[in-house]
Amino acid sequence: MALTADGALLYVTDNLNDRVTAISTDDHSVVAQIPVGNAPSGVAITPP
Amino acid sequence: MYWPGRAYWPGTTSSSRMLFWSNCSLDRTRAAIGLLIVLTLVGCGSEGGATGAPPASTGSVTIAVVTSGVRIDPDGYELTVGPASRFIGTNEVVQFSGIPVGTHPVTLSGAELNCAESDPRLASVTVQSNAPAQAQMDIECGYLVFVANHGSDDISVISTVTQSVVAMIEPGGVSAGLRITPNGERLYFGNLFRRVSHKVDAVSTTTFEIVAEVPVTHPILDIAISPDGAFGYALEPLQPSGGRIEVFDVLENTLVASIHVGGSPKKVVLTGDGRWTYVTEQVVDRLRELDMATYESSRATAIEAPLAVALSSDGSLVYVSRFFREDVLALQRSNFGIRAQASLGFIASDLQLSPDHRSRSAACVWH
Repeated sequence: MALTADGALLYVTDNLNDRVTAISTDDHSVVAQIPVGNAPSGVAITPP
Repeated sequence: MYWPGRAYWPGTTSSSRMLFWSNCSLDRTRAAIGLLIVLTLVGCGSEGGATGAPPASTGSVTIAVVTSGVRIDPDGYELTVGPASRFIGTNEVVQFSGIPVGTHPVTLSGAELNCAESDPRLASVTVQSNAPAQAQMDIECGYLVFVANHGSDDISVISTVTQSVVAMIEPGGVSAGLRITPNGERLYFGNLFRRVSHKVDAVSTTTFEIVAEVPVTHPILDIAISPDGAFGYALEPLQPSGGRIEVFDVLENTLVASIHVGGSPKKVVLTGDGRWTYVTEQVVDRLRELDMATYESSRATAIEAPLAVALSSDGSLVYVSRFFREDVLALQRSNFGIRAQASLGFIASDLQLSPDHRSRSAACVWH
C-alpha cells in the first residue's frame, strides 16, 4: 500500500480480488475499487 | 458603358442586375457618362446595398483552459474546435475565429496520463454569427499509482484523477520493491522470480519504457532510494548466508557496495537525510541499523519476527510490525526503547504513516 504525497488517498492492493482499493484518509471511506492484473502486491506513487 | 461587377454583389441574379441598371439614367454624351459613373458608384451603389449583404456564415469562440492539481505538464495541450486546432498552455485563453456557425465537438489531446478533463466535460460549443461564444475547460492533474501484479507478471498504472488503469507495463517476471526516484522520473523495481537472470529495472514514469538495468545476483524483495536520488538499495533476502543490500549508483546503473544483513530480511527503510537504514531481519529476530556513510552495521535490537518497518517523518520513531504477535511497536530511534504498542489482530505486511502524523495505516496479508 502507499499514500499519495498529500496524504489524502491510500492505495491498498486487494491481492485475492485482483483490484486496488483507494481509501480517503479524511473519513476512511472507499473512494474507488480499481480492477488491475492478477494478484496485485506492491504499490508506488509518483511524488508531487 | 458597362461596369460589370462594380456595383452589385457577385451572385446577384440577372434580373436584379437589370433592375439595378434600369434605375439609373444613361446619357450618351461622354460628360454624362462620366457623371453617371459617379452616380453609379455612389448613388446607385447605395441602392445596390439594398440587395442585402450575405449573412455571415462564421463566428468565433473563446475557450479558457484551466489546469489544476499536481505534476502539471508544462508543455500544454492541443485543443481542437470543429475544423480548427491550436496549441495552448496549461492555463490560457484562446480564441478560435472563422469557425462555421453551428455546434462543434471540442477535443483535447497531448495531455499526460496523469491529467484528465474534469466533469462535466466540455464536449461541444455552439458558434453563432452574431455573438462570440465562450466556454471553459477544466483539467485536473494527479498522481500515477504503479501496482505490481504478481500473478500476471505486469505492472498496472493508475491515474488518481480518473481512478482507472491508464497504462500497463510488461517487464517480464514478478516485480517487487517498487520505488520511484524523488524527482518522480523513474520507477525502480526488482524481480522476485526470474529464471534467466536477476536485475533491478528502471522505467520512465512518462514513457513506461525501460531506461536502465542493474544486474544483481539474487531475487529482489524490496528497494529504497536515497532522498537525493543518487543511490538505490536493493534487498536480497535469499542469499545462503542470510541477506544482502546491494547498493547501486542511479546515474551509472552499477553496483557500488554490498552490505551483509541477517537472515530473511523483509523490508528496508531510510531516514529522511539518507544517512541511516533500518532492516527487519525476520528469522534472527532483529531490527538492524546501517550507517550508509560507511555501509556498515551500527547497531541492532531484538524484535521478535519483525516484518514491516516505517519511520516517522521527523525520524524520531521507528514503527515495526511483528509477525507472530500481530501488533506494531513504536520504538524511540535514539535508544530503541518501546514507546508504544498497538495490537492489530492481524499480521501487518506493510506500514504507512500519514504526512501529518495523525494516522498510521497497516496492511494485512494473513489473518
